[in-house]
Amino acid sequence: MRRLFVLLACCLALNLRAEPVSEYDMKAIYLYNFASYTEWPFWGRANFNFCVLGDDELGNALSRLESKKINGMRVVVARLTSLVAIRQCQVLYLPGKQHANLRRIQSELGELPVLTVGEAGSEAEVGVVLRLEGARLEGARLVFDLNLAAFQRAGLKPQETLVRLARNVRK
Amino acid sequence: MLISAVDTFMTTFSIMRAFAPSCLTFLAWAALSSSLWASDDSALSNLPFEQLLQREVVPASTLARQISQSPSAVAIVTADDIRAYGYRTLADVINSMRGLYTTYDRRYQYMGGRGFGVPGDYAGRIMVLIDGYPTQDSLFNQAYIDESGLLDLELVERVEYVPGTGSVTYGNNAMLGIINIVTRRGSDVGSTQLATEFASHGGRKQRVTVGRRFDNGADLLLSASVLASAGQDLYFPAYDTPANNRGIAQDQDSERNKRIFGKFSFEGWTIEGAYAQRRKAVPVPMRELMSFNQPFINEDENAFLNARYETDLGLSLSTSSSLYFGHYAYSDQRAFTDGDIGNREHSARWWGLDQKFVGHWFERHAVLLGFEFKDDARQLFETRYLLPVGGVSPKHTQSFERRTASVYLTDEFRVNEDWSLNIGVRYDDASDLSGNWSPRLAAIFRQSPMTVWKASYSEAFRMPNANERWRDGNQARPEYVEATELTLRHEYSPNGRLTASLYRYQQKDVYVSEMTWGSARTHGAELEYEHNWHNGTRLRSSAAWQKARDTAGQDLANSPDWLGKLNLTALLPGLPAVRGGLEVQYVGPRLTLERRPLGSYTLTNLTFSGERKWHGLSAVFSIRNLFGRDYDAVSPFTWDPGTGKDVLRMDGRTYWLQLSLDL
Repeated sequence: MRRLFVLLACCLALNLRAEPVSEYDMKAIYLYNFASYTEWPFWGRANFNFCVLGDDELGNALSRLESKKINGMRVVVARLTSLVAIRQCQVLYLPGKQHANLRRIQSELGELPVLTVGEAGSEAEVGVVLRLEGARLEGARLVFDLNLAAFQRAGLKPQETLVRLARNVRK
Repeated sequence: MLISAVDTFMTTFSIMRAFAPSCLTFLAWAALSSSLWASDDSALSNLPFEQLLQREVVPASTLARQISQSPSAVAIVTADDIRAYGYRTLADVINSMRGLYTTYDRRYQYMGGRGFGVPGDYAGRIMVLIDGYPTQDSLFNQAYIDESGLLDLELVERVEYVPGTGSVTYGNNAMLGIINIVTRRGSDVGSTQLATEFASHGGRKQRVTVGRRFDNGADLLLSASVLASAGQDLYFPAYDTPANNRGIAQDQDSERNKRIFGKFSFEGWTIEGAYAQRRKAVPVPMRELMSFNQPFINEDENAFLNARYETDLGLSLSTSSSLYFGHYAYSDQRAFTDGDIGNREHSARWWGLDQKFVGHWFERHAVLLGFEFKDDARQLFETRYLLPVGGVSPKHTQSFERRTASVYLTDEFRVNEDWSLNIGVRYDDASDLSGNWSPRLAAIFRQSPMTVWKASYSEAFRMPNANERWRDGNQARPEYVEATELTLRHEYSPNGRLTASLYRYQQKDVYVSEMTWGSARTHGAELEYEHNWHNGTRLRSSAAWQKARDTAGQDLANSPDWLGKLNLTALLPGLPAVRGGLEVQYVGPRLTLERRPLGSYTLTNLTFSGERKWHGLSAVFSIRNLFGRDYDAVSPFTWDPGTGKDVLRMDGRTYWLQLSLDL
């Protein structure tokens, strides 16, 4: 019994704080950068809405950016569980499990200025695809692909930096 | 108006405030480190994008990702863990989980934990789901977690364990907890994979798996495998007499199985099916009149087909519909001392329909309304004797049927940013029983984004299964449990998590023996710590203490007071292409069915796996019971008191090698 406690105590002592960035935190910062490096039409509102459809972890990570501003607008993070409010989003993140809904989401958004960001498998439908590249655990990096047609449909324009940094650009 | 409503909605779901330092010093310290971590973040967001692209990230692989709003703490074992620790069956996975253990009688693996786990109790009272489909057969309500189970573990993406009762969603059987297996997608496999395995005692396994994602988004996974093991000539001291071959059961431990699995998904549709057949020789007699060292062959056949359609209907309503079919067959041949051979052939067929609606009509509420209809259409028991003189006795046949209609409703209510409530109830009405309500009430308190408390009360039940109806006739009755649980989940950093849990179970109408039933109670505490480092090192360790009383108020048999687990995996220093996985499991002292104390044991398993594929080739090599520890399991076969037949010696050191090739 005592050995067990010693064991657990050791485990707790081993808890050295790791420095690298978690996937969620990095994704959140990427989303912020996508928004910053995109030219937005003026629509005269105080808030800039980041929406995450059904991924609480990413929603939490994004929430830490709420003190920031984009084009002078205050960043607001919405963790959505349904499609009802997606027309109010400026950036909409769609995790892989939402892929079945992509067509419905596309038709719902129409030509609204909403930048959609998805995961591998949604290349044809969303504006930006985020992918983890590299071995699963060592040297993994987050890369992204752009779909210019989706930007165009939404009346958005990626700045040159964004196009340059993308791994693949789809016309 | 709409905009302001939306803004309110958005603010509601925005960042949670951290407040009130915890009373426990380690939590305070943890909160400090968490705040440091949060500030790292804003520094990062000020870095130029070019530099960010060069930063390494830690994928959200094992921690946090799938933790649902379930009122209980969830434990997860991922595909990476399965490989790193060389798991071959679901029983191996379960043995690594906090507070759980399995008992093997060389026939089946039985699962135990939280006051459940009397050996020989087929109905493990745990629900095992494969992608949401409940896999229990309809005769014994057994979840097959050994080689008779439906899945090869290479097809598993993740195994989630939700301790606590689950009758509010799943009705019958979900008394101790729910194990949900999430299978891989074709795109996760992405090729054709061939695998071959070699194991101690003449074990061989071959597997072929094909995974593919098509351009239109359709995803296909197909897999088939065969396993054969000669087994050992086992020695049982309790049978050591000249008439019993000096206690050696020769060639009575063989095992073979075959499995087929397929899954196809397209848009909202998923069609999934599996078939598994296993034949196992059992080296010890189950009953007094059975002969030792004579064939006792068990065969199990499990199959299911499940079609599911999920879609968002708009108007804040999404829906999930499933139609499933299940099949199970059991047969055995047992040699009796008088020369007769007993033969049992049982089989079952069932089908069901489950319809769930999830509505987000009200701000702060997520409402789930479900209906299920299940028809256990055929539950057939057949026994006969093959007589030594060459005849066959007339078949004795009895069959049962049960239809169950159920309705369930749950509501996740976010009271404010810190508090939410999870309220639910399910009503099950079976054709042979009176209706039963299973309620659950849980309160969740987010003290900070990193610290979450959950308290829950629930009631669950288990209908008498067909085997019990066959055995006890009209006396067969449902079993009930009331469970209370408090859990704490605290995330020290994005990579470290502590889970603590206190629980109390009160059981009613537990079967004792020969038409007697009684009440029993269990309480316990569990503590688990997990940490993932950026260099691929992962640690998971837990301690569980439980005090289970049987219906007579005495310590429950085969229920160790203490269980400890340690899992550590890392890339080998100097050999970064190889991953080492070390697993240590401690099982405390417990009682046999004859109430004889049985000492504790500690098992160590060591696994090496290739971290990267070399021309598509990769390997896993595993040593189980590394130090060759001699230990005994509590045996369910207790027909001869005082002779030591109440325990069974388990395997010493064994080896296992898996080679796989991606074409």
